[in-house]
Amino acid sequence: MEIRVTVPILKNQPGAFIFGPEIETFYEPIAVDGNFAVRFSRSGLENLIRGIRRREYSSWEWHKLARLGEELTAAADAASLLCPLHLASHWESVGVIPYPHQLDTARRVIQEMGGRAILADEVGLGKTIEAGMILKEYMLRGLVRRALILTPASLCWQWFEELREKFRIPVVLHRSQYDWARCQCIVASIDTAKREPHLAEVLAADWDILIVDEAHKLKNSKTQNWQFVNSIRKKYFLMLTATPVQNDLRELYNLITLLKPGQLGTYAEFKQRFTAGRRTPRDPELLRSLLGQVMVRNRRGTGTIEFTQRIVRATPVTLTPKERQLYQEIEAFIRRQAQQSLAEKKTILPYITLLREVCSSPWAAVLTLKKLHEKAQPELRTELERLLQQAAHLEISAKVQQVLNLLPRLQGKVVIFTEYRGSQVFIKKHLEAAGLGVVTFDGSLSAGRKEFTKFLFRRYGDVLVSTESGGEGINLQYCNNVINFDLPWNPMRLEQRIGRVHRLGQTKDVYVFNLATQGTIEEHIWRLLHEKIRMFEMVVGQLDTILTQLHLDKSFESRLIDIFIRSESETELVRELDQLANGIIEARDRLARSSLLDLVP
Amino acid sequence: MLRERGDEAAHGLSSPAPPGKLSAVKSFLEQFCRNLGLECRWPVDNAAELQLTDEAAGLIDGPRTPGYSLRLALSQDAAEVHEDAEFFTPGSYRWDRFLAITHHKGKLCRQYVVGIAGFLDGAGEPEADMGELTYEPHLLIQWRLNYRTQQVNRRRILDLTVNLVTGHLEAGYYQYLLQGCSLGKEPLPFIPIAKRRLGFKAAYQLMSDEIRYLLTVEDSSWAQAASQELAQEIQALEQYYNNRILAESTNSLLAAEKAMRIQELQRRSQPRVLASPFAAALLYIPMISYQASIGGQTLCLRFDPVAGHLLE
Repeated sequence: MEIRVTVPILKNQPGAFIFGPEIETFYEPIAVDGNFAVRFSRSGLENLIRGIRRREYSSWEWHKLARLGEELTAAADAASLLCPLHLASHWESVGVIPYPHQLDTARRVIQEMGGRAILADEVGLGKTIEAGMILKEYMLRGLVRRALILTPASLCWQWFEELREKFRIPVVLHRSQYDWARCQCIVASIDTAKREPHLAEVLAADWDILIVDEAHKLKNSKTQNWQFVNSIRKKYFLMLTATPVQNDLRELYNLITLLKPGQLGTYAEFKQRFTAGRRTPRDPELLRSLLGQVMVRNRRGTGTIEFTQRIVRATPVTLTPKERQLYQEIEAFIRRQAQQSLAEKKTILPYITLLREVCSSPWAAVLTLKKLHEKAQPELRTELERLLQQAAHLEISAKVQQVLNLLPRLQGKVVIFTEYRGSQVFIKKHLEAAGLGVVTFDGSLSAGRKEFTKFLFRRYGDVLVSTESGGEGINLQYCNNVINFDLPWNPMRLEQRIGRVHRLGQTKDVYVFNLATQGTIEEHIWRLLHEKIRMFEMVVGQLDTILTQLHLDKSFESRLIDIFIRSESETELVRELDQLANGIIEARDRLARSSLLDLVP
Repeated sequence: MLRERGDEAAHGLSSPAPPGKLSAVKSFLEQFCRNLGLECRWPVDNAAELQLTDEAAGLIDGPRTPGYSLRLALSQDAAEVHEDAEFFTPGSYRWDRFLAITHHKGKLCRQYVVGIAGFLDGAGEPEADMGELTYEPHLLIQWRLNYRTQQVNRRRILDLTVNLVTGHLEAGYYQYLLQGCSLGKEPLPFIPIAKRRLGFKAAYQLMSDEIRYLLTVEDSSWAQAASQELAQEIQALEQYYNNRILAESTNSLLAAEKAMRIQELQRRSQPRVLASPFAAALLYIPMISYQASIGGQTLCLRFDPVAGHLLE
């Protein structure tokens, strides 16, 4: 089946209102007694007088209806949370309803913690959803209008999508300096927001709510991030982290003090009352009770969430003789050129990209070979020309053949991930030739086109071929087969791919097929991830925590590149990779032994 | 991170609506449809089907939305039977949309009382002895009072009416209008209309004073408790910062931070009531003046036939 996309649709933005809540202004407060004050609506009077002057009269029936509606709403207002009622139909239409622990957390934060809390659920239990519920609830009750969500840059899009899609919150993704003043509800990268010219704009505003994701990055009060967040004026404040305490009690103190200064006293008082050592608490019961006033941590198990199984299958691919020859020649070329570039202190990145591309498919390598050929010195031109010709003339690859063999055995929809557009195009071509309904997803798609493509896949498609960037932030829990056509060199990216499908809302076991070409670097990476560190056996999110602890969350890929370039033999390569794996295993064990997290109520 | 429908442990989003509330929601919906001239069918109990015209769909879902059939389920049971129906109960998305439209449409009306059981039936006929009838303009405002603290967030509805000729203010007058009164867009031709002597701002001020008075006499334990809690929290903050100021050298920075944190706390936790009008009506009520001479004195009494009482 061939699907042609011609008409952009889905113009209706969630949260669009014709008669949205008007911005109401009030007169100065008038004291009623010593305890409270009353404020009367200024805009209410202005609208009334304007309406009478213009004779904008409607019928008595509408007046009566407004009164009845308001009475009924006032009665519902007494309910603990409005948000689940408000979103019930919407959640139903997207096939989901919230978990009790999430509702309970939202209720506790609003009613018992006054909207200032650390949401410290274990990974995968839906901290973002809890924060979204709290935000929506405050918005529905008219308590929040200006909201700022600060996240690492890599999570901005995900927050933007979740808040819009799941909560119908008209949030904006921060793009320019002017957004701060003109937008009410903004998702921004914390690293951007803390720099000028944004910094001044952020600090000048009175935010009704500030939400900070990955808040463990604020554990050090000396850092610019901590100081920045501390300087922001905010009424409500949520911090999200799965690891509120990692290495020592000072980190915990810093986080709590950022949230609620004085909750644990000054640091000197805290040290005296609560620390017996860097990692050993004194009077843990009292500390736990104080933490319980500002922190919620839901743990896996009864009352929370059980994920469906993730079944990971290694799918080794034997290259065709022509492909093997191409790979070997390119690898040899890369090693030579990389050493030379290193000696000349030039970048080796194009060569590494080429190596990874040729592991994916010959077509992925064509573009880079072309670029290298154009820029190459005359002595390299002939060799590159030959490699380019070789790559361009391969009609089919062993990997594509493997996919074609695999697909008939799978039940349900399939998503194929690849890092490269070149591979994506050729996979699509071959699958369509085999009569399958294929849609493709890549980073160049506009938001509207993305929506349309998702709709097409959900309704009509058999296979979705997505690139890494295209797959960011999309939820495909209605699909339960993932084929990793190539392996990213960063395990978090692999986890994110699988996470598109293996997530809450997934009702079936998820099958993951990792295609790894034998006798290539890809095979080594596969061994490292699967056999050594056993990443697929970890609970969702555990790897993220470990890599962050090892400061490898951003540099895992560079470590692999370094190992590959430095290793002069296969044996050395294996030994170096083993060392990396051992470091990760040790960190995992340390995390498991850590008792600091027991402090968290 | 939400779970799929059908999960055994699914948390009920709403307990079954009590029958009284359900019938009120039903009548809201039916009246809403009548006001917009829409057909509303009830194929089964508690599930409605609305035939939205292009105009109504545009109003509800945004400009240029073509007409369609909208199904609404008023209870959880009905929602489960009719999977394509949207949940409709106070607080739900559709409810809030309909209410926003209702507020927009119902924010101001002008009405004349044209019928009061037992009073205006024979009025206007030559032999009727009704006393002297005069339409007196009244301003009726439906107020929403939002009570807010860090923990409390409830609202109360209150209607206040001010006679724009005499300045007389009454609470709960709206209920009289609902009982045995009929209202129309045009006045009865034989009743003269009195001139307004009170401005709308002044009437609004009278109502504001009344609300403030009502708040002083009603139970304010909610505010007392919140005030005490706030005072304690401010004290704790001050103590924390003062200790730090004593121990550290960055005094001025800490003092500024302390002020900011206290301000945030007050913004969040200060007990307060927000009073907002959400619907108003300019009403013309026929007042009856009776004159009688007793002991050489001529007495003039005014009677409000809607409320059924004499006015001094």
